[in-house]
Amino acid sequence: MEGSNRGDEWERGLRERLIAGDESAVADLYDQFSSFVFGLARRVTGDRTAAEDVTQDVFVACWERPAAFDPDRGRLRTFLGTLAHRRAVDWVRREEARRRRAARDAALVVRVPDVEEMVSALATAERVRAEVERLPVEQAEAIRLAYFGGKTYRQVAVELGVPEGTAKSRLRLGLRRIAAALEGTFEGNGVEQWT
Amino acid sequence: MDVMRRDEFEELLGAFALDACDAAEMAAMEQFVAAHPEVAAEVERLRAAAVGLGASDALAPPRDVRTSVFERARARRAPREQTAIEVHAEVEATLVELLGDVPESAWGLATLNGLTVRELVAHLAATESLVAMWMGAPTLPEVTEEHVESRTAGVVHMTSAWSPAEVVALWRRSVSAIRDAAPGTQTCSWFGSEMPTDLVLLVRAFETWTHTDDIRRALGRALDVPSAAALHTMAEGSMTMVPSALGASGLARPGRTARIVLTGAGGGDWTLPMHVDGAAGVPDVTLTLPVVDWCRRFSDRLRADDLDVLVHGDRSLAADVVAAAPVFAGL
Repeated sequence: MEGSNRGDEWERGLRERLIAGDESAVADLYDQFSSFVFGLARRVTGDRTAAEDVTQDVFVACWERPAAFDPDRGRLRTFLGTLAHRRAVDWVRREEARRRRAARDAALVVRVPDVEEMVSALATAERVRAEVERLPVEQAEAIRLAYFGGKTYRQVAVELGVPEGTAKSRLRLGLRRIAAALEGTFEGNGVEQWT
Repeated sequence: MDVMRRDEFEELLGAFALDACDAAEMAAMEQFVAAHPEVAAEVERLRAAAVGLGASDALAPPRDVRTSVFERARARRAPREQTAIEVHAEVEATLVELLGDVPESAWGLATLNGLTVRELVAHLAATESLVAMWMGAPTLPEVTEEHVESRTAGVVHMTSAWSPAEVVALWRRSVSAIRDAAPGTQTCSWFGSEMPTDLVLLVRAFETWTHTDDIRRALGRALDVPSAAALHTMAEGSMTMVPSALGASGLARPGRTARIVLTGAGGGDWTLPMHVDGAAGVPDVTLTLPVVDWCRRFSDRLRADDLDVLVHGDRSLAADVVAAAPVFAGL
């Protein structure tokens, strides 16, 4: 991927300012990414208050441990998105455990949004969407359950009635194809190339 | 010794990038990635794809989330403080940059207090050179007048045939003289009394920032704010003046305590006696407002009616604090 550009420089500078304790850097970081983080957290948790908490946690964590972001290894958006998604998924799993305790045998209904529904102005999202639509249905379904439903691959396997190994490979193959589409390359029809 | 085999790692990679492993597997994967830098690029690539899934849902969070982020961040790790002298330098640099960008035709535009842009710079030269003189580093020995308006009139008259660049140079010479002299002093003469040097520098920073915005208004440009660190130090300085501002406004409230919570980047939390000789106790009133608004009110650039203050406790005491805040803001 192409890394060296103005955005990259901005991210490095921002990290240095955070490390130096410059509070304005938090403002810049927040103004650039808060809608992305909050929207992602809201989508995964389906809960406004939980999404607000996740958003706060993500930006406070960046202030507290700014060196955790390594600009040599990736982009800031990916770093923040990963932080936000993990926290959102943690919330979903805690919430599910809580609900299971509350209604042990009640059928668990988790509202899982459709991947196909995620349209927005962002070019990245458009390309991801286009690629998800082209994925084999079983891969799209597995990714949808894992990313937006907060499910582990084991839960995905149970939900889809397939072996765990199959769930793992559907997640891997589907995600690889999305990654390839984001890079504008063609990786074939879900054929494993890297392993 | 690896926590997992390479083929195990590769099998789990998709689930890992989607946060769809259990906690033990996530930890093992993280360890593997840390020990094998050659896989980092592929991990980043798949994570970026995963994040792309969620990128289409961008939604602005409620405004108070931003405020909470700053409050929580500050509680976890203190921001770097700026010294008064650094604030003074930052604010000067901002005005220098703006003045470098003033079109030839705009030097005659009127600013808020009636002076033209060029005369406003002469006013700043008048006040900075006055402080420089008080610090024992005179930059304009021929002007000894200490009354600000008369001194300004004198400097405006003296520089009326100068080029804008020459007026700017006079102002900057005085600013430098202050910054060179300040570190050796604890207090400085200030209109007949002694004031801590740091506070003098902050008062100068307030005035410079305020006039920078006056010039921006005249030019039709958007207003700007100093860095969070500078704002915080300026707010801190303004707080030490609140008790005397209340006194100077005839609003001293012996035995009463006000808490002022300033929100946003550079904000903070102060508890103050409402009388110069008092000590702060349990707050009778808490005022919460954005730090920038407080600083603009202190500089007399926001009217009390235009301030959005959240008040808990005695509302009349809150009104006193807001009314007294700009009393030291001069020309």
